[in-house]
Amino acid sequence: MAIWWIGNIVLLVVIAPVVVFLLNGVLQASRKVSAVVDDLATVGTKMASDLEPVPELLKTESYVTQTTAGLARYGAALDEIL
Amino acid sequence: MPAAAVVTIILAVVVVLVLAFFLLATARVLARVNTQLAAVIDAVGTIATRTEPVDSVVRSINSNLATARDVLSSLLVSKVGSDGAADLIASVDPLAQGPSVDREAQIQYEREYEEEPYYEPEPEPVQAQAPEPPPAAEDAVIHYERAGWTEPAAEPPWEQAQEDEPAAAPAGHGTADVGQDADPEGYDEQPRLLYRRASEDPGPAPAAEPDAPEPEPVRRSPGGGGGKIRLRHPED
Repeated sequence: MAIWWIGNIVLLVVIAPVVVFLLNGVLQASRKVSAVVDDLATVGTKMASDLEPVPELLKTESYVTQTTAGLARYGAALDEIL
Repeated sequence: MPAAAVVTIILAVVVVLVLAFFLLATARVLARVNTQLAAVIDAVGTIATRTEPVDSVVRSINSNLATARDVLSSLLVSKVGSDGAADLIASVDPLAQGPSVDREAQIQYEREYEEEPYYEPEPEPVQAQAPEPPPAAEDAVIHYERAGWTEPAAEPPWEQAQEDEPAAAPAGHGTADVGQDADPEGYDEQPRLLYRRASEDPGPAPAAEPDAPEPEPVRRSPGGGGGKIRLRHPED
């Protein structure tokens, strides 16, 4: 019976605080991960919004192609003029 | 049932409750992390989708611009020759006529003619002093740029202007009006004089003679400056 009581005391004084300490560590780490992931999500969303004008590069490509063709025509005409 | 057993059961229940509390909290946090990571993965997927054509588009633009450059360069070379094309390209090169050179020359000029104290003629022996060597090609280019022309000519510009060769200089670079007093305020007088001095230097100086006249002392900036930009007052 005495040993049982000693086991109860050990359970109350040692085991329970250790379990609480370890679980608290896991919880704090999870919260830190959550904060970092929040920042990551914010940055990812901003990056995605920053890249919205990227499809405009297709227009730029079209304009450059047209400009190049115009320059070639201009050069040909200048060649004949000069 | 003994009292010890009751206490054990109670303690076990308490530990299980504490475990459940922390595990639930952790699970909730991890579920939130999972949701955020899903959003991040979506954003990264969107970024990858949007940036997918960038490579081909940029390569296409570069190719088109290179084609245009090649066409115009070949046209220019066919009309004015490779040397003339190089001169023309150099004349419109912003690095060749950037404002920093002119600004430095202007600051140097203002220092030399507004503040005299730092000018002290150097006592140099007359016999050992050779006439000042002509400016290096770099100096001549700087004088030339200050004079309003952007490309060096093999002959003085006032002679070049008389030859009426429009292809020798690009339009708008002032070669055609060389020798004309277009500026009534005399703004261009000094740069022209500077250019004339730079171009009329008689080549490498001969060896010093014992009875050679004392050369004109050279104004030098306090910081040295390497003598690249040498400005002389017209009345000196």
